[in-house]
Amino acid sequence: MLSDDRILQLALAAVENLNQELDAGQKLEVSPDMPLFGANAVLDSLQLVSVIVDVETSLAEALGFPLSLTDDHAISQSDSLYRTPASLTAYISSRLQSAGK
Amino acid sequence: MDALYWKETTGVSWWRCPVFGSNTFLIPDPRDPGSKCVMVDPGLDREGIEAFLTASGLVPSLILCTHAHFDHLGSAAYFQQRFGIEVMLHADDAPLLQKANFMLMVFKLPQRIQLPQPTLLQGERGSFASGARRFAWRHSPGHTAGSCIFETDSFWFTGDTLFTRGLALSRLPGENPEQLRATLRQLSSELVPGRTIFPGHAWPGDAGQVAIDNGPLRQFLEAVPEPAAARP
Repeated sequence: MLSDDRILQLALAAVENLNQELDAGQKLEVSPDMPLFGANAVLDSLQLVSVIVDVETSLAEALGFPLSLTDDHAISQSDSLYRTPASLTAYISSRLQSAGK
Repeated sequence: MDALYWKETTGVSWWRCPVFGSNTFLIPDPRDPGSKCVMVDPGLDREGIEAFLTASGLVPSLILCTHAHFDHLGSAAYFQQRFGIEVMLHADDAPLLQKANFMLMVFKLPQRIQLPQPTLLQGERGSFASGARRFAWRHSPGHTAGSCIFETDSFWFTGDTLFTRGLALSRLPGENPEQLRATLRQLSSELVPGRTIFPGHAWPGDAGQVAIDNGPLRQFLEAVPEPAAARP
């Protein structure tokens, strides 16, 4: 079982990975509540895809099994899990709890 | 050269979807060219493809997907169910298939698609028949992990691996430019006159002409020296 803190670390690390590819003037201020998706999003579409797929990959490594953040179950959530690293963490935690993992 | 030219010279019907400009092709069965066909890459424009199919008088007996991006298989599930036919996709693109609606959402496109139930192609090469037509396929990773080229007669259906003009570098997940370069290097010696390239976007063309005219392709291949072991 991963703690919420550990899950959040994975989410933030994925944004940090993206940050390393950005020019100095474009660096993002990384925080649990930074807007990843939606009206005030700081990521463009390709960057969001990159971050979410990165989290999926590191999550699978940490858990030892895959947990999709991009399947139809995930995108059907009315309160979008992609809004912030914190909302992503809450979704992952809830999926793990309901799966008894 | 328009769709009529390609229909008259190759028998292959070509529909260019208004959404993303992706190409759908209908390849007639040589024994029954007026009624049966194989459909390649049915994209997002289901209504348009259906009208095109009806106008052609053809009924698909198989669907081939060159890769799992939504603009190449957006209506595959619909036609699979309507005609009760197989959809072929390389196994390495199965994870990408599950992300199709995520990608639509992220790119702020209103459509959501039903996912097809594909028959997964395993390995690097293979062949199969549909009616009287034989196909060979080859794994061509790079644009996506499971991209494939389907070959029949002198036709190559190349998806987004090989365009007649330009390159398909998208930065989408699963893209691997070095793998694409290796794939295109392998293909480049087979870009010979008389072979027709039917790409995933834009115009079909003669492979020999592609080898001469596609400057971005040549530049991409020449940007990194070919590994010594690969040279003859």
